Amino acid sequence: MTPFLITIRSIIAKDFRLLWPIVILSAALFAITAFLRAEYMFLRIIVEQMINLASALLIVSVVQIDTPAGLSRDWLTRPIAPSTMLLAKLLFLFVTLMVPSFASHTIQVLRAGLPLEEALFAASTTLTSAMFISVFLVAVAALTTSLLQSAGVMIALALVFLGFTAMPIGPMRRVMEGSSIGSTWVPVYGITLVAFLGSLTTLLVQYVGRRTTISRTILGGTLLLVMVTPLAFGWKTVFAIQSAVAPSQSENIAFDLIAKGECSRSGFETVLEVKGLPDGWLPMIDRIQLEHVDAEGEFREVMPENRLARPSKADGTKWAVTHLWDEEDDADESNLRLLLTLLAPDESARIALDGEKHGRPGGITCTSNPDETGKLTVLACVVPGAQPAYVTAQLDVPDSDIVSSRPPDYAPHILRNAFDNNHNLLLPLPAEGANSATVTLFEAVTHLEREVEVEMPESSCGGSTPTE
Amino acid sequence: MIIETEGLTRHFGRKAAVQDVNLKVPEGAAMALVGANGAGKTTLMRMLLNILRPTQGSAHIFGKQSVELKARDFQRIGYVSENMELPVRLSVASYYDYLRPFYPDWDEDLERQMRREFDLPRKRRINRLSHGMRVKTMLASALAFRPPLLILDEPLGGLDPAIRDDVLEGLIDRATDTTILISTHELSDIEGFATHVAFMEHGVLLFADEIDRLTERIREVRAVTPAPSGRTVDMPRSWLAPNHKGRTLEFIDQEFTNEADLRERLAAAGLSVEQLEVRPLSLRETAVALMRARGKENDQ
Repeated sequence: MTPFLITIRSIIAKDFRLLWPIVILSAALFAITAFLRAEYMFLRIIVEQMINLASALLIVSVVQIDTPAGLSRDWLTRPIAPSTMLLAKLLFLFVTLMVPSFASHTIQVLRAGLPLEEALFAASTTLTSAMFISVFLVAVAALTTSLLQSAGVMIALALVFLGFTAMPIGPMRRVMEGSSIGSTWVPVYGITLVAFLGSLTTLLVQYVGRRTTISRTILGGTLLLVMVTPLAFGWKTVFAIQSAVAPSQSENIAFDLIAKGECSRSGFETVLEVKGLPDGWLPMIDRIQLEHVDAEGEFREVMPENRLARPSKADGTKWAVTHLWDEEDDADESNLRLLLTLLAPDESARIALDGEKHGRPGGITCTSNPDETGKLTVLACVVPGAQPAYVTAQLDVPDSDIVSSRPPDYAPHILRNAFDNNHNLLLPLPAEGANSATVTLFEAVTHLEREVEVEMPESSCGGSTPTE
Repeated sequence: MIIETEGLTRHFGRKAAVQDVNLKVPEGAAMALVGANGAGKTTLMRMLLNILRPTQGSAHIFGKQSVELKARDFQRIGYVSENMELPVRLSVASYYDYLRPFYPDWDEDLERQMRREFDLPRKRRINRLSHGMRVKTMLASALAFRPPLLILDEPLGGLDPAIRDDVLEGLIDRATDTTILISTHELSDIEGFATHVAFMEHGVLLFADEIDRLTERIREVRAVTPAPSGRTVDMPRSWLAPNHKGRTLEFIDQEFTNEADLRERLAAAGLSVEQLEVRPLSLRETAVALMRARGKENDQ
């Protein structure tokens, strides 16, 4: 074994001797989540928060034992290269946090009935995000000299960030708004990349250069950069990036949608399995249409937010109108306007149900197109110089025997747990009174659409059904 | 020279913690760096070990710039400081297990021997050791790899006399071929152990020299002249703290070799001497005299 490896092994062994209680605790928590049934949602949330706390504690503790900040740590006068120390710390965290996390996620996905290959890919995706966050925490810990100081700095940073996010007008609002159109990933990836690179630079300067003041300035600068990064992601940029990573429409593209369902404590759960999706595609849930015969009125009450959005037929992004519903079941113009301002600075969007054209010079022109057969009003909006957007809003159809609905939690979003070309989503459905559900997915850029029908159990699953 | 500094300076904000220090520690020397708390001893040592960067000047260890010291260089430097933070939740044995692989020359027999002599309990955690035991633990860890250079920052501070003797004996017995730089604020701690001494005050190195040479050539002189001559005595710079009253002149001579030579130098200064008393000084008296004299020079 080379002296370099001997040094690394010795540091890791020492850290384990010092921190084994936290290591065991976090490993136990990861094990619990791996085998916790999906329906114990509340317990899962608690355990996950405990994992977050234990992980943060472990990260800060292991770095603080041999912090490069300050002048009095024993290792500073030992034959240990700063870069070796940093590597040893990162390796320790990889072994004690990342490996259990990876195993836990793999088991979770396997227990959801998915193949090993997909489970491994899903876990590695989660692992990547965890590693990015960990590097930031390592950077904070490396700039402080005590656990208390680290905790103080982290709380302060979190408050600044949350305060900034909560600002009604600000760059972060753009990120939040993007969640309704499935483009959040672009600014989020941008922010993550900036934070990761800033943290990495901080660590290198701090460990190799041992320049605490400069390193603190770099990390502070990184935080500021993170806050203004969303400004670089206007909708044009987001759309360009989203389009760039998607395959050209001329390619022979297709994807299959498979659904499995089973009763659980929270109701009927559907695993959507999307196969054969090319890299860069963003599958999104479009709608879930529950078909039932008897309990239609009741269902309308419990699922009020039943606005649907359909994909654009032309090149363009898809805009979801999920909060248009009101007592009159008329379109909520202000909400729509707010949504459409994402497209252009002008706020002239209007909505109508009679087929007339609306618009103002330089603003957004929308055309509504009531569809009596489908009981839908299709609203097509065109923004000058931008991509056309089509928005649909459903009419109130109390007598219809088909109710289309999107459960509030499933506003269009990118399917999580993407791995390889397959995607999975656990989808709890309100099964009361429904005979079957039709789930529609679409791809965010190409707008390819697929539907799959899920048979509901004959009797109720006995789970809780959302109530108003 | 094992250690050599040139104009070494370190500022913290506007305050100079160490100012223009030129220090040379020859191979095999045991140099005591003496000064009150806040004199700049710890800062100086931290710069030597590249824990702190100098604001100005440079330090060389084994002929290499301190700011360029690499991990491998620390296999030749032992460091003990009461300010160092050890991994205190480790046991003594685990601490040595942790350190051992870093040093190719780590002598396990020596380690065991020192643990026995210092009465270090193997399984006790470092945070449950007394201050004295902790210093012994550090000292054993610094000696076990037989480093050619030992830098000891106030290792004897706060130790009771018995433990202090243990530590010093441990040093004397096992660091015979080692160059040592040891800082202390108590001169008596290292009398009989150090071969060289350097004094620091307010970040300034007042003087540094070999102890034998200091004690050999420094004398307190009391000269009585027959009658006040009336002419000004041209006192050389080597006469420190001169006090001329009436027929009596008292001073500290820094260049004493023998009485005949002293009489010649007194005569050269224009003094005929009726009575001459020469008294050797203890190291403490020498230090006090030199520090006062240098302090006065610096004030001027």
